[in-house]
Amino acid sequence: MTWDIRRRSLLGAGASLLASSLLPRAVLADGGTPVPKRLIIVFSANGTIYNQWLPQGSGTTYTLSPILTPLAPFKDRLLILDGVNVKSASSGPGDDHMKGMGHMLTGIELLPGDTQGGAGTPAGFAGGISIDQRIVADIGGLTRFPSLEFGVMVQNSDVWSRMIYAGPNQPLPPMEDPVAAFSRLFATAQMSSQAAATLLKRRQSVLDFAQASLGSLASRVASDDAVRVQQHQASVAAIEKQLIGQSASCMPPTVPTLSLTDINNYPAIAKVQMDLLVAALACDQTRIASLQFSHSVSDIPMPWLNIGTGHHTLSHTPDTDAVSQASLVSINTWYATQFAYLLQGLDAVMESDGTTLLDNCMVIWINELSKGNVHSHQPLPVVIAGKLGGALNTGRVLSFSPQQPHNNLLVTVANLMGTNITTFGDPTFCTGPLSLA
Amino acid sequence: MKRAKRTPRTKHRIGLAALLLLPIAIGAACVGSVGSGTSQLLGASASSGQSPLAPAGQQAPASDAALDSESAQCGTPSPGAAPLRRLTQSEYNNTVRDLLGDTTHPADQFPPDQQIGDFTNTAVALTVPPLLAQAYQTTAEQLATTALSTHASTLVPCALTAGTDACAQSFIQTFGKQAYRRPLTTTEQGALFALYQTNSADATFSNGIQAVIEAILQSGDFLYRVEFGDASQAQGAALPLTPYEMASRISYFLWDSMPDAALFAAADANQLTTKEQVATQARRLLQSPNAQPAVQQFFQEWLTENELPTVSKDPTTYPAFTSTLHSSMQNETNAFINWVMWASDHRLPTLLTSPVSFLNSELASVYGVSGVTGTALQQVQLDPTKRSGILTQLSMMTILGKPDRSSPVLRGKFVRDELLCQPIPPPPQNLVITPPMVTPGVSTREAFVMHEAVAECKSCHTLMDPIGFGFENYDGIGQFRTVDQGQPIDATGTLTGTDVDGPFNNAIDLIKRLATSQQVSDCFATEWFRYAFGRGESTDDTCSLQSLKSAFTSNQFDIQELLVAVTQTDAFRYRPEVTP
Repeated sequence: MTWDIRRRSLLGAGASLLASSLLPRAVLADGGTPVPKRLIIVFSANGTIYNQWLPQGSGTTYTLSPILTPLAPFKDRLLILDGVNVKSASSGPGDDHMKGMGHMLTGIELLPGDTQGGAGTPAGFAGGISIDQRIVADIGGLTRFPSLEFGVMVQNSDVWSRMIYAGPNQPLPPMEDPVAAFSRLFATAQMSSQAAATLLKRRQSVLDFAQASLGSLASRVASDDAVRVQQHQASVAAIEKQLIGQSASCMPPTVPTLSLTDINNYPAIAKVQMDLLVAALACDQTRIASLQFSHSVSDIPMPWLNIGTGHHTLSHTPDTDAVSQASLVSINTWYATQFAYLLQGLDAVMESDGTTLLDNCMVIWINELSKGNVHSHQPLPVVIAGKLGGALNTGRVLSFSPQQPHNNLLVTVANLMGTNITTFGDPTFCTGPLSLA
Repeated sequence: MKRAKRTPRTKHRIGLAALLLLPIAIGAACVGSVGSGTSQLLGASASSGQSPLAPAGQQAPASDAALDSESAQCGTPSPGAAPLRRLTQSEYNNTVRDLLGDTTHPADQFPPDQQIGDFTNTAVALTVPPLLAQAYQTTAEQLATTALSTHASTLVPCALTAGTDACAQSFIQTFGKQAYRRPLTTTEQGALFALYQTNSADATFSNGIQAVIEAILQSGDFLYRVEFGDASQAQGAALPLTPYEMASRISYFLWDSMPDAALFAAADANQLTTKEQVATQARRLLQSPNAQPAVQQFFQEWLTENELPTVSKDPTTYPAFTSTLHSSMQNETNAFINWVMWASDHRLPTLLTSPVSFLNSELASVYGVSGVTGTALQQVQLDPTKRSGILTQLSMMTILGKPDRSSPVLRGKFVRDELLCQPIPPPPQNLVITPPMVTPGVSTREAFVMHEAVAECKSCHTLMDPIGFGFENYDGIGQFRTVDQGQPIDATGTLTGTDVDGPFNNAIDLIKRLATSQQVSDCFATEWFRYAFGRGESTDDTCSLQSLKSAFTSNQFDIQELLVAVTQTDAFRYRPEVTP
């Protein structure tokens, strides 16, 4: 069974096609078309314990570290980067957590604003587009959703809690409610074809009206205000595209109803969000996704690990506090376990060419800090998993000496995804692509 | 789904006035002798009772001198900036309630409003990402479907089964005016009628009307509070608002919602132009039940109460912190605020000092109050030697606590930031911060006194910790205690850098001082200003703020009168000219 993306031009057309598809085979092109590449970015907060994170050895001969032990089944499909430096975070307003979060995927200064952190000058949101959205500009149009952002109890909506940006002052919020995410991705409407046609026509004409109304507003208001209205227009344009194929459905996971404020549900929410993310990619609803655990400065306890002290509080303890250090290793190892679950899900989906979805993904696990108690932005703990259709030479630890600016890594990520750029973010901190050869 | 907006942490609006003083007063942080460092840092002399002020987004920072100058010329209206404001979640919920009768709070399912600064209604942060645009679309469809299937007859002036073009025209004119909060232009009516025709032609009248409702709910004129002012009445660069714009300002400020019929009628009759007319409407709205949730919204964000639902505590340290207690805490505080604002004397000192509270059996057992049974809240008098107003309630002490201990730092910082408008400068960028862990036998006060020993910590923490220690009788979930880790509680201290400096024995004493502070009342007025206008203040707001603070003072710190005074300011009654 194959699914030519161009055929999803009628409401509901996807449903019948998909009903007979052979999942867990990815709903993608046939043998004649190359299997597409996908990018997933995973975030966990507050830095790591670097010497418990960095594997022993180098190149292809390495032993996984305590924190990364859960990734053992995927050792040959990992690329572990040692020596990436968020140099851009030395510049601009904000405290180290804010800058770490805002620079992580944008490589550019935060805007000035009214949010005061624990240090530095007050700031607003990030001052530029994030790398995933830059890639979206090239390939987002190929799928129903240009990108999908998932969150696990992110809860806040400030600069510490946003990593994906459509542009300056344009943070993209993640979907935090699995039930709502399910509905957005997989809900199907049972209706006659004529009713479906009437609905589609109404939706399109209504969105056209909204577009015209916003366009008129943008032309009449002050220029600062017009920028926000124009962003709104772009968002309406994005959802107009999603009308097509709205009834698509392909073996979505079961989504339990969970309280989104009870910290004890954190692991369960993580699991279902990852299930949804994998299903969305498997159904080719998008090719760019992210998964954000909590937020920078997250102070959640982890009762399921018997850790009652908040994560951020623990991350500020001195290196000599062995008990707290052990807790931090446990926390980061738990996140590695989550990352492994995601990889496992991706690896269980077969592509049309016999490879797995993971083989065609680049899954990047990243953090806003290196070391919590000093708020350092280097060396950033970066784990890349997947083969990206053979473009990634995995099973290695790559050490960069001298350290390399993370803007260079962002350029490389874009290049690997087919986006042809030579610099990204603040050019002061970008010297070209980072070789992962 | 209820969401918190942020977690307690080192975060606040910083006063640029304070920031500008930084190099002189405190060097890299709050370095210097505590005495002089304090008074300079806080930029406020006790005699003037004036406090540093927060920044105004992208605008020029306001200095104390400029903002509070006695000689400020307040003759010509000076409205300050008036950025375009998108409906917040709360405003959306209330607006569709009043427009369509929908009480499902659909915006609770939207992605949370993006936040810059203290409040979630900061205009420049309220963008519309695709996830929100999609939520608008889905919600518009649901709202239109529900309205037409349950009470079409109250909206549409004909039966859906006997619809005519004339009926559609009439509906567009009436419903459009409600939704856009002003009469529609002929062009706008024409565009909506064309949409109706497109969708009714090969389908049904009802489908056409549904399209019109969905389109209006996704239009710029509905989702934003659009204002241009009345250029024909310009006073210098300041334009008075048109009557319809003024109707929306009043109702969104006091009700978080669209104007009601009386406000529309007043606008139709051009009766919202004088200060008196505006004040009369403001007083009328304040006495409506609709004002309660809107005023609550301010308090929730000012007090960071909206963080409570996602606060987590260590169950071993705090076994009493059950999910039911968690939600009861919030209900207690909401009930108390409502009591102060609508049943009591609505004065700020009452909010800070009243021993009245509202308990159910679970709360009562934590407070040690006997005779309260059941889950419903009932009004009680707490022991005035142990509890004083909002600050010592369980919810506040829980929010301003760590998962496994109290937090003198969060508590002291809250008082400086939110009550005194004296933002604490952040720690130096390179300082390694190591908060003490809970250690058996070592009290929280003993553990945090270490800040005294480290110069980089002391300079700033001396402004926070001594105040925070005043709250040491309340543990991380607000339970009263006299012993911490086997050590007797020491909640004594001395308040410095304010207009009410002096020693205190405990939180009750401390709050008593704060409740008489001019700085606290001025700060409270300033917080309301920020909330009312969705922005920080600037030099252009000097006269508006001055009039607000003096009205609050001369009305014995009556909060209802403060809100009326907001509607009398230049910032409320005028706006700058729009230049696209």
